[in-house]
Amino acid sequence: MRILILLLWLVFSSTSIGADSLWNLFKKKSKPKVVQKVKHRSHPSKKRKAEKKPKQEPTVPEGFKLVDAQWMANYVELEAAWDYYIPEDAWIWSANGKYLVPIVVFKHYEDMRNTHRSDSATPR
Amino acid sequence: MQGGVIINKVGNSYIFVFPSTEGRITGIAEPAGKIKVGKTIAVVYSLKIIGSGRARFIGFDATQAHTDPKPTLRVEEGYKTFGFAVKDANNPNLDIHMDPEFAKKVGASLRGEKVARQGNLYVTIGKDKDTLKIIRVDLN
Repeated sequence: MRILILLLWLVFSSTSIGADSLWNLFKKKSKPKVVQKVKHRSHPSKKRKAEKKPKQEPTVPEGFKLVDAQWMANYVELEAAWDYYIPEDAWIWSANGKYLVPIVVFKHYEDMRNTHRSDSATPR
Repeated sequence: MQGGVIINKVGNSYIFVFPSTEGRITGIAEPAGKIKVGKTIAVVYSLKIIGSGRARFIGFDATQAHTDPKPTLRVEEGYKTFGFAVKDANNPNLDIHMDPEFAKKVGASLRGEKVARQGNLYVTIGKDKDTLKIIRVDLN
């Protein structure tokens, strides 16, 4: 009987399913380690690329004025009404839905708008 | 001028002006028609011009396309005042109807928005391989 007990003790102590493994069952479970991910900072130049570019206003050269499409429509209507076209109309440029007009054209528009037309004049 | 519509070209951009009924040049109170741009883009319009002295317009800007779009205007009789309908055969998801009732009539689902009848339309056109495409539609 003693020999049998000794043999059993030897077997248990040599294998991994020994006292240690039994002890582990009663041990408090330790929290798993949280591995913090290191945030890689994006390169500032890359970040800048991702940002949406605002709609760029065209640069206004000297002697020109930037007007919108409504202004242009009114100008076209006035010119047709007066049948008064000026050669500077050829210098009007369109850019991003707006128009660059020479100062002369702008003044021409102001003149046509401010001039009262007599009733005798028939629209063409 | 064609059918009461003033057509103006500046570079690669076109502007179709519908004069007001109380302006110096009198226009049609309810203009309607179709403007075709290239092979795929079409703008159908049926407007009501209220005489406030302000012209309404449809603009096409093809400066980004680096090509002359050469739009063609066909003046038609409008059966109902609805606003604008923008169509692009290459991009059916871009159909824009300004009036829900009109969209129902033509059997299209409404993907656009309802706007005031006093609005103007400005279409920015780009190039897609061999054809033209709509980049942006502005209503104001």
